[in-house]
Amino acid sequence: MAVGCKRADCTVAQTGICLLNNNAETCPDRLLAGIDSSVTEATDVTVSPPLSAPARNPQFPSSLTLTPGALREASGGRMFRLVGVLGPPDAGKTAIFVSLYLLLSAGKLKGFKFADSMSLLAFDEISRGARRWNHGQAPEQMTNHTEPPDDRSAGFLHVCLRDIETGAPHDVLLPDLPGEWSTALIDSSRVDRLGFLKAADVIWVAVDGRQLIQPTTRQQILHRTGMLLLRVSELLGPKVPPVIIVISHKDIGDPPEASLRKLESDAQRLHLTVQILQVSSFSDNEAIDPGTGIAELISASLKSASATTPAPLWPDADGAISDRQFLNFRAREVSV
Amino acid sequence: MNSQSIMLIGGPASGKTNYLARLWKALQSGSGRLKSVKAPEIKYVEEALAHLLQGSFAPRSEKNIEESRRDFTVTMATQDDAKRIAVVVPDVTGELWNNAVSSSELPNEWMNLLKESSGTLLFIRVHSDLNVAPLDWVNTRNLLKMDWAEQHEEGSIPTQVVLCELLRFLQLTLRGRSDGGLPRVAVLVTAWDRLDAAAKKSGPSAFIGSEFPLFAGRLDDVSSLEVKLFGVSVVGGDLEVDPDFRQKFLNGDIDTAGYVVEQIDGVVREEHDLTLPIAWLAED
Repeated sequence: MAVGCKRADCTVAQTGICLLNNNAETCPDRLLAGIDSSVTEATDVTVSPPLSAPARNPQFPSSLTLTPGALREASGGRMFRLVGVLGPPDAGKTAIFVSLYLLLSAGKLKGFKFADSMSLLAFDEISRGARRWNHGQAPEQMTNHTEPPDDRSAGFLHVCLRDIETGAPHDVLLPDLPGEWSTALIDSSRVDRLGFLKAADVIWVAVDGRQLIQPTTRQQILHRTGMLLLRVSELLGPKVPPVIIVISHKDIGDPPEASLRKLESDAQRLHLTVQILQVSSFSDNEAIDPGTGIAELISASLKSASATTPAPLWPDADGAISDRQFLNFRAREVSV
Repeated sequence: MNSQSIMLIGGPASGKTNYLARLWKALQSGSGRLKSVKAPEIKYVEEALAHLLQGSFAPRSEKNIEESRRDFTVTMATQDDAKRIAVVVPDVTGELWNNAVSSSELPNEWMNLLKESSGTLLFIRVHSDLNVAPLDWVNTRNLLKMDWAEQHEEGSIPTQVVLCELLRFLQLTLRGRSDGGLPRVAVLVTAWDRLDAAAKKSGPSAFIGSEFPLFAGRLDDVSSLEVKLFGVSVVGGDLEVDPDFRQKFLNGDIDTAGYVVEQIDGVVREEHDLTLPIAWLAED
């Protein structure tokens, strides 16, 4: 039976030790719960909250970045083309997403028009810089938010593009991940967060074009890109999808031909199918329009992937491996 | 008698109040497809109509109008009384919908009403000062470069993104029509008279495509709603900037002023029945 005390400052109920060092069983001030109700009421420390919790309004599903779980729920059997996007911080990954969004917003993505997005607000917020990586701290995992997060969270951006010529829709998933994850992949072989790459239909490796032009940084960036390609090759084994090396800042200038050949030879050595494209997500050069190369990047990504065999999203059966569709990546094991 | 509920939604200054005022007058005139059956609280539309009848648009800053009633309901019927339609305006100021998009939340009563509705009027106003354009390249890059620890203004969600989100909400909530058909959404492009002749000739679809490419793409893609675009001019001209038109309007009859534009098989046609969009929502 619980023991209490008539003295307000005695903690016998919590500690079992009488404040006056009396025997807790015989102390004249002791209270046994349920015996002296009048005193029990007076010393009841249970305080009801001063305000009841505010009633929550009903919510629509948010259109911020999608976690794998949210994507599965929202997909409704749609087929997605997953682009694995890698590259160190400042390589221009976010700028590519923003440039794609701005092109679609202006109806200027050559060959395509916007059809749908399950993460439209995420595109918009990223474009306005309204969400940063937790004030500079990159997230450690893809968070499993059930409510809109305050900070930008790692997750997938979805956009459905309609081919203007054929009318065909293309559901594209772009992982919005911090560059630090690519750095950790190179330096520490950290692959636990990148398991989804095994289902990628194409992989973009973003390279900072400014560093590729500068003599003092050129060799370092070539080396690091080569290392990233090596890690991708190690992670995905013989089933590496086509890789597009996306060189940013075309408006600053073109990288030396020798640098491009070096990247190609590195990829060939690893038996990777590689294509190099230059983009200018923004532009300081009047001769180069902002958004240059983005439509070509999208076209190449859609063409490079394999046939669009219908398959359920994340089938549970272990053997249900389709032809590189993101739909079945859950069926695959991630080897560390 | 077949009855249904439809909702009228749109952001601030999207033309809801002036359309409702002119619609109210059209319902009273009895010359359109629909007539008024029941409207217990009409102060809001009567005050808005008073502005029109005196040759000015109901201003958005008219606190009396906004505060007299933040929501408005009118029941109307087809002229043969075969159908009855309750038109509900949850929040005449439109802030409700902007908040819904930014928070993904909607107060319970309006969510329930939306779920009971089989049709919606969705408002966009031509050249509204409150339309938020997409970010341009220069501003966007500056925002991305900015040190986020500094004071900053996050800016507003572009109008076309708001429209896409509202359409998504409607997809998720509207119920099918009593005849088994898809829920309907009438997109009303208000202040149609402010467009130049070429834009008017091209019709509402082309206007949406050029001004709001994201929203145009969504409208083309949506398969769970039946969508139709209308252009609307409540009095047929601009009472604010065209004194000649205003004088002509004041000397004329409001019952003959204003028009609705619809596009059928690519052909743009104009007619004077301001009840047309609602009648389309209600028809089989």
